[in-house]
Amino acid sequence: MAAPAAGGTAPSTRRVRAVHYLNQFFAGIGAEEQAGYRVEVRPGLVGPGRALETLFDSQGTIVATIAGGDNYVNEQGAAAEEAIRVALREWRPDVVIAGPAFNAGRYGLACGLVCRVARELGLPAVTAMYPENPAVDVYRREAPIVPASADAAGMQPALRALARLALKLGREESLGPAEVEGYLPRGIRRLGRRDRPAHERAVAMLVAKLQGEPYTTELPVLPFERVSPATPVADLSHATLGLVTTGGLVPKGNPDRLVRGGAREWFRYSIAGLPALSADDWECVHRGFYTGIVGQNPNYILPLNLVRELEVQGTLAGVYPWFISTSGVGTAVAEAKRMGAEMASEFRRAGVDGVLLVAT
Amino acid sequence: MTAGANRVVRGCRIEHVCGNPGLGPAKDHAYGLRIVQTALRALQTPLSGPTLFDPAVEVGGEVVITT
Repeated sequence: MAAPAAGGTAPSTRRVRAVHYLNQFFAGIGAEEQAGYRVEVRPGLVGPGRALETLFDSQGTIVATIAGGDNYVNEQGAAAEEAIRVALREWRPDVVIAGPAFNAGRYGLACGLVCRVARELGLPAVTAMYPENPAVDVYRREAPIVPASADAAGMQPALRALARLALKLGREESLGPAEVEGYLPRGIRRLGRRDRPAHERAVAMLVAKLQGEPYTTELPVLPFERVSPATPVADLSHATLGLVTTGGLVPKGNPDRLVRGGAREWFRYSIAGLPALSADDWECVHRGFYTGIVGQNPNYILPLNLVRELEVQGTLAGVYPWFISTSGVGTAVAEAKRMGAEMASEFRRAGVDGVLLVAT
Repeated sequence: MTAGANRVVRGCRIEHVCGNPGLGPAKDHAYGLRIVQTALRALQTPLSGPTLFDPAVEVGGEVVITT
């Protein structure tokens, strides 16, 4: 019988121990109705963790999975954070992996929180989400964020990128710049050496630009949208108010076939003469939240009853007789901007003075 | 607050933004009205960048329990 080869168990061949974070959906606990589920730790891998561990190619293992409901983690922030911290202290992984969260806003924020807690404990972490996920802006400095597709169709490439970076981080190898390693730029600059001095590179870039050739900037400016605030409404008692909701409110039966997410269309519906919205006539088409409560009282996402009250009191001069609706989840920012501009121009044409938009 | 909207009012929850069915009809109504009134106040307020208006603070009176 052959003895084990000497020196074959150097630390570099040790399996990387990872802890994986998933929301209630990917952990198989349930859909939106389970979004209030507390933070829970399960030994070993769950759901997408299986594919992730396969991609580790025997170089790493998922020792535990932390699962949390999207609403719970975002609304019970302190309790969730503490539960995550306790779990990470207990399992002491080499690396923490969160997600992928794709374009799910609350899940993205939860993944970012997990990365921040890990960093505070001195543990490297990595997550993956759609570049337009709002959590990217909040957490891009806490951990490398690998770009993922908007929905779970892009699970496999996101897991591949996560696995590669997780192994690297778990072995305490240093990460190269974002464009080399394939994560979203964090806005961190490190000293380094380039082959050619700056003035030569700058002139080469300028020449390429003038000749219409491609070039890569060394100082990308991250776009942060600033919108100049509109002038305030001077006198509400002479103003007409417009109403918008992104809660996917539609007449019963959804005659225009508004989609439950990723909408590229908006619709307008008449509220002329209506004192309030009745659950008998309206329904909510939206895949991003539990719609049962709005189903019983649509005024929660379009407060027509309250606005009418203020109209009768004379606080407002009037309400524009059409409200505008779309389902605000999973829509790309560019599409949302276009729709927003279209809605604004409808209101402007109609002489509406101010708009109340209820975002879900 | 990072999405470009300048006048942002704190609502209750994603499932019932403009009210809270858990408060019972009278308090729910008062709370919803407070949210809408805060929105109208926001529309009349000059500002230079994204600003959060909190119904519990803006309209005054008792603090509304939102959970």
